[in-house]
Amino acid sequence: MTINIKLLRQLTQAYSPSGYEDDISKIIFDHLKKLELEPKKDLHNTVKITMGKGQKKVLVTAHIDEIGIVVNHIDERGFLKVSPIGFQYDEGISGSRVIFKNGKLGVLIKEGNNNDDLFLDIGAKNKKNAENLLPVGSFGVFVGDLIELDNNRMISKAMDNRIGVYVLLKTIERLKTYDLQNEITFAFTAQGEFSGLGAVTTGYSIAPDLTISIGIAKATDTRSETDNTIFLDQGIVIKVMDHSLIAHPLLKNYFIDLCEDKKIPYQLEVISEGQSDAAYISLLNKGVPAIGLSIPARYTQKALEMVSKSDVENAIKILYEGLKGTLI
Amino acid sequence: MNLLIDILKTPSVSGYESGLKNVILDKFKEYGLITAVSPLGNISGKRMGTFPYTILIDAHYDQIGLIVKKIEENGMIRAQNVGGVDPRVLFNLPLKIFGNEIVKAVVATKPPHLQKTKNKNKIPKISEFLIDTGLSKKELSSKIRIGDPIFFDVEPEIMGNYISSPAIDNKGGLWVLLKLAQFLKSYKAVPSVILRATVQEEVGCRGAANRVDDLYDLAVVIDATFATQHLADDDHTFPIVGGLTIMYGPNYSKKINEKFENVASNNHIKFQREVEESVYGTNAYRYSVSGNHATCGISYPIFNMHTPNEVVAIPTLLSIVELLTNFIKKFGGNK
Amino acid sequence: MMNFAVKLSNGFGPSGCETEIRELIKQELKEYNIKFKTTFLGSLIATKEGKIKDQRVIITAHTDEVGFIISKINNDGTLSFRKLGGIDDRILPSKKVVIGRKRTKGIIMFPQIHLFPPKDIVKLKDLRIFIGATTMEQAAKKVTIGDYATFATKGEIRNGQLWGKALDDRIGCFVLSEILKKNWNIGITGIFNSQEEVGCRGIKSALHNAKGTYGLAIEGTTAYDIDDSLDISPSTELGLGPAITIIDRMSIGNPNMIKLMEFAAKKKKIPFQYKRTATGGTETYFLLRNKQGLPALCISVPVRYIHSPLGMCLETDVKNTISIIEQWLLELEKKVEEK
Repeated sequence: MTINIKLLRQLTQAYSPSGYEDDISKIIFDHLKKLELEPKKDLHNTVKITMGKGQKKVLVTAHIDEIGIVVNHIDERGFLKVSPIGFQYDEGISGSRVIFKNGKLGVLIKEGNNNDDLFLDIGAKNKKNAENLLPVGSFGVFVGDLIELDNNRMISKAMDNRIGVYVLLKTIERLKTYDLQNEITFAFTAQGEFSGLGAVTTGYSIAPDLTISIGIAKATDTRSETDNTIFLDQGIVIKVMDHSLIAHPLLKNYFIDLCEDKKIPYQLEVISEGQSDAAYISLLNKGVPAIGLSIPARYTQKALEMVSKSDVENAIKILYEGLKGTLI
Repeated sequence: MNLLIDILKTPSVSGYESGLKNVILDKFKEYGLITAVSPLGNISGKRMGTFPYTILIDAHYDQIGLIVKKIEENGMIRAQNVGGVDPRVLFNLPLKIFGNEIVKAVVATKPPHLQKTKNKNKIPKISEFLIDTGLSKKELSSKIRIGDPIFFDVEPEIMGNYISSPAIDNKGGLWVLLKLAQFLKSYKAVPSVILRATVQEEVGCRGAANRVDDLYDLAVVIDATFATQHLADDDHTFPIVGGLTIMYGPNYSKKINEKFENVASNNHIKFQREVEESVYGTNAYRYSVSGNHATCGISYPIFNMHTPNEVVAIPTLLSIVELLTNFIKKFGGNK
Repeated sequence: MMNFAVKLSNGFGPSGCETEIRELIKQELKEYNIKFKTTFLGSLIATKEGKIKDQRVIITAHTDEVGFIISKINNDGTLSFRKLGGIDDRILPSKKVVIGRKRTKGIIMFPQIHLFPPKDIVKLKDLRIFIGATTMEQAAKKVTIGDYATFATKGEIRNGQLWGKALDDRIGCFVLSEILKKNWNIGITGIFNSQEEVGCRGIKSALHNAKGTYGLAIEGTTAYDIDDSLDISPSTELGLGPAITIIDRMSIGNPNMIKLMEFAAKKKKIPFQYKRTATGGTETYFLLRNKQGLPALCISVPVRYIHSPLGMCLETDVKNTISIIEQWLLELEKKVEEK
């Protein structure tokens, strides 16, 4: 199995900040059409497709939006004050390039130690000039082409969570002809980086019996030895617990057993931060057993995020094998 | 009681006491006192006695407040304090600016939604606050000028035996003075009594420092003192239910204090002793060094001093009137 | 017309105790053919039928205001209290409050500067309310633990400006009431929510009972347009008309609904602005996520000094907010009928 770089490039390079996912949802919709499937799109740009028949309803999600910024003030000198959407300002953000829907570019600069010191320079001469280029309320996303590095590694903007979208699309492709034991809905959800809106509304309309969300996990192999728990190349991350969700034990064991059985490498994650579609959905209706499966990625919530091809392949494998089975 | 509310509602920021001046003057005249007004605005009302002994009773009638310092281009006003104004009580405080006309305003505050964490616990300097009238600089130009006085726009509130208002310090004392004036009307005087309402106490006891033409034998200063409350309960504070305080310390005459305490005991008036070791800071200091006479101080405890909602127990104010009238009756002529 | 807004502003309605506000609204709207229902958490649902049967607009505004709840009666007759909603502690010293069913007057005490070092910030736990009582017994006759309290502010109109407390979101309640007074082809469900300031609790429960296909939240929002020297975002500015929220802390307004609102405004030449900060949560989020999702947005009246005893907004902004919503509803009706 190799990675379809062309598709991944198309996915990662789409402009789709939270709330304005039109581009990415169209790409996904069209791709599914090409697979001769019948996707549906809802009001908030979530794309859904249901396959198989069976007793249990399973909802598998990957959010399609990406982190970005919104302009909320333009000062006299033509600098843009911005608010982050889906990430926290830190040192790694300064110097990142940002692109807007109308193609205008800018550079995020942070001079000083406060969050308020962050601004965007779009080369404007003054306030009026800037206002004409990018009015207040414009949404921007980071710039970063997909690059293949040595040792099967790739880096791009919006790898969070287009790599999850890629995994889901590839899994759908492989499951297409398979006679599934459950009714599985794949949902490409909106606003996962912001309010989980797509997950909540989809979760409500599907009312699933269990849910799995595909995302990325922060690889900590850049940190000191005591801190590092998640590594690139060491397989899919089964999220045991994060800030918002404790994985349902049966689901967790199902995937661990599956990995052991099929000899697929995996890593277990326990962290104190994080928020996922699965967590939003788990609280709906009468409560939904949920788990998150993730691809390890370095430099999450930065302009560029790095993943390993082998982890992506393993993720597709485990998801494919998992969904083929009975689940819990 | 209406009189107390009237004088509380009449603004008199230090240096701008003229609005209240006529109220006092009219009352003094109404009660048949011989009145005089000093160049700065001190008002005295004298009742001649038959015995050569004169008691001067002082209460300052100015109040703390703010003054217009600057009008910004967008119509926001910056102010400076007059007297001891605590910036911690200014947040979102309603104000009245007394220019050519009265302009209502509020001290601008940032809603919590827009605040930066690092500023959350910061108390700005008074000049850093912006005051919003809702009017533009142009609209303000005919109404307000730099130097116009600003008052706290807070109404008096009666709560059972208590009343809250700005400037209880020292309109409470002024009310005692006016009650005494009423008493003097029907009083067959033995000693002479001078009632003196003074200006500019809050900015350094300036009014009381002005010379008094008459000679007198005893000066009694009526002012507010601190009531014990949460966060302020050391030996400089007094229970609000404990009655008036009689002042002890270098400024005050021990001999006369003894007499006051006797009068109080005989008339079942509750009192407590207050020690003021520092000689500066009140009008008593001005009197004690301005001639060869005794000085005494009678105070009433108030909550929340120098805030827009000072609170006093009305019975305490009435007990000061009772103490002084009985004192004048019984001991006044006894040198 | 604005008199009702002043009445609403003066009403007593800290989060969890909004009865007075509900009654004011019911009274005002009683002659307008509206069905009322009150939820357990205290939200008032006002349903108005239209000719269009299967489509409804849910419009929300919240009735509650930031306030206090009495937590303890102290031995000296003063009261300790907790805050309900986001209030800057620094504005509390020496403010007047009203407490409980008896509407007892009180004052938040603050000792004099000389006795209390000027650098110290007073902590909430050290603030006490004085109600004219000096013993626990006296105080217990006037208030009980658990009584609600608000700032004691009397609102007024002056120079075309509305000055008062609780304009977040009584001004929204006022705008919604005015909308409900008119007749519309599309059905309207007005929800006057309780407990927004303590986590949008009223709307969460109210939406279980309300059906709708479109959503609109009306808010009184932050305006800090008073300091030119800072050159930071004022969030909104007075006089520029109603503010459309593109994004707040929890929600991104539905782009199609925003476009429709912009279209409505431009058609009738109604001025409008955008809210220029992504802070503060509103009820929009709960409309957006309601069941399978509603296309929803938030429109706000700019208000200076929300969440404090005395705020201010402009009559013209309020009137323009009513106009823009009315025009938006007309456009929405057109769109629905075309379908």
